[in-house]
Amino acid sequence: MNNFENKIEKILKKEVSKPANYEYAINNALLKREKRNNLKNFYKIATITCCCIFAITGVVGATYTITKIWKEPQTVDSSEYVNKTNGENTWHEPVTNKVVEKNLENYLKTLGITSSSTIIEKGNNLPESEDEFYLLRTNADYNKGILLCTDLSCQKILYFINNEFDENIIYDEISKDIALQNAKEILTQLNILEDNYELYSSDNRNNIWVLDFYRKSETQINNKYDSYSISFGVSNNKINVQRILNEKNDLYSNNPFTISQEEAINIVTEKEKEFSDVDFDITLCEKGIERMNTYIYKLENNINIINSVDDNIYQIDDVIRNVWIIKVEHKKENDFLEYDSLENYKKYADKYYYVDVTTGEIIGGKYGAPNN
Amino acid sequence: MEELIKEAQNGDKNAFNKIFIAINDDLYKIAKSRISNEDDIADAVQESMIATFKNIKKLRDPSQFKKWVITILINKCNRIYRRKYKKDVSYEEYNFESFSSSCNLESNIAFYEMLKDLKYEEKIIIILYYLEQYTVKDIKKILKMNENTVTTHLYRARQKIKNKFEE
Repeated sequence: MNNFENKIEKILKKEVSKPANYEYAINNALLKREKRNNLKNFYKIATITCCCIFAITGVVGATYTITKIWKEPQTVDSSEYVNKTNGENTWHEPVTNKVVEKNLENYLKTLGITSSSTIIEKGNNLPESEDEFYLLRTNADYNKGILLCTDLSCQKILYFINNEFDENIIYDEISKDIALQNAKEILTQLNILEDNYELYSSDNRNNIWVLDFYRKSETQINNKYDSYSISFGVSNNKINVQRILNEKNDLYSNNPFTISQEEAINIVTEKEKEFSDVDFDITLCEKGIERMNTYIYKLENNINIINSVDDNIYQIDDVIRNVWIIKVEHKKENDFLEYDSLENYKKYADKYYYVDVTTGEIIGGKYGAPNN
Repeated sequence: MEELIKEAQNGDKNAFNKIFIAINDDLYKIAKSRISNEDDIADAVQESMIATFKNIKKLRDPSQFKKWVITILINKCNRIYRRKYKKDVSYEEYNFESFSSSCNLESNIAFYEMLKDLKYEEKIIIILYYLEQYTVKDIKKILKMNENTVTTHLYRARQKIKNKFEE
């Protein structure tokens, strides 16, 4: 290590002063087994989870005339944006319907959960939406116990969350094939895995598997906005499900393909030349389904997207479209030059562009990080 | 330390407490890189201790103990952070703002000043790399990042710290 690194190490290794409550916590952790009662806002959890799940009503024209999709974003102060969803229109009421109770409890049995006391409610999910659901929970506190949410027919699970799932125990090591088999078994028993849902990605962290199943669109593209995600661990041959989440919405336009791959590449090439005079290659061009975003807009308008301290949110229409996903990679000696400044970022950063397959507009993109 | 771990695995609470007293400074710094509220830090470390105690018998290799505890702590801190502090804007700004005003000791000031302008990923990687002496491979497993991402953050963090030292 050189002098500079030695200096870093020296500073880090010096003991820092800590408050009295920290010392107390260390000394008394085992005496005090009860966890502190940190309150979560259940409506925030419902908002974050459910706004990914429920349909947002909208009307999409049956005839596809080429109308522009992209509109200038509306600039909103971040504090206004965060306060927008305050849950004031949500409601819950208890349900005593035996049929509903039986249906929901059957799902719990399938998941290997038995609970002597359950609370069932009917409610709606968001300020913006009237969609209703049934919610079964096993604890008076929404942050504890089991949460199982279905549509009003009890046919479709919207989400399942097990707050008692312990991420810190050491689960059995199983192969990806076995994990996939387990996931499919559970999802099929829960009537979740319909046709056209295929495994898209899997991740294993400390033997807790997370598998995402995406539905293929009519044009055979994986639609991550119509998906199920399941996470679980296996212990003593028992599958312990942590959560099942569903994302589905009606924002997906399924717009027709009128822009060819070659045309899309030309569009991106011209745009990238506006940002950069450094040689680049097109290393990927494939069909995809993506949500419109402001990535390219920010580059065009020199809005700092690295180390951003911008307090504004740039609001655009919430739109999901068929796109050409095109990756641009620059020839450069040093992979880190792009982070020095926005100018160098625009010039050297590898980027993904989303070109709308119907209008040819660039409707978003993302940073093309290494191994991304 | 390994002796203490083995004793703790046999149920010796005193041995367990001694282990954590020995490493509590490191755990504090790691938690501080993510959350700044002192009560939340105490909670995160305390919950990590409880989780460790519950599962310590399953630990096969005592030499991996600290890495295991740090992984648990980072997960706890992330959970607290997501629950309490996550907003739609960039999350880097919530963190070190309150530090320098509460610092008195020179060692505290040096620590916080050095890390103040770093993003969370940069802070935690610097701490794990230089304080805990973990390799990039170890860090990628703890933080669940790929190796290039760790290297990138490490490079950027060093550059920022270097610029700070030269001010």
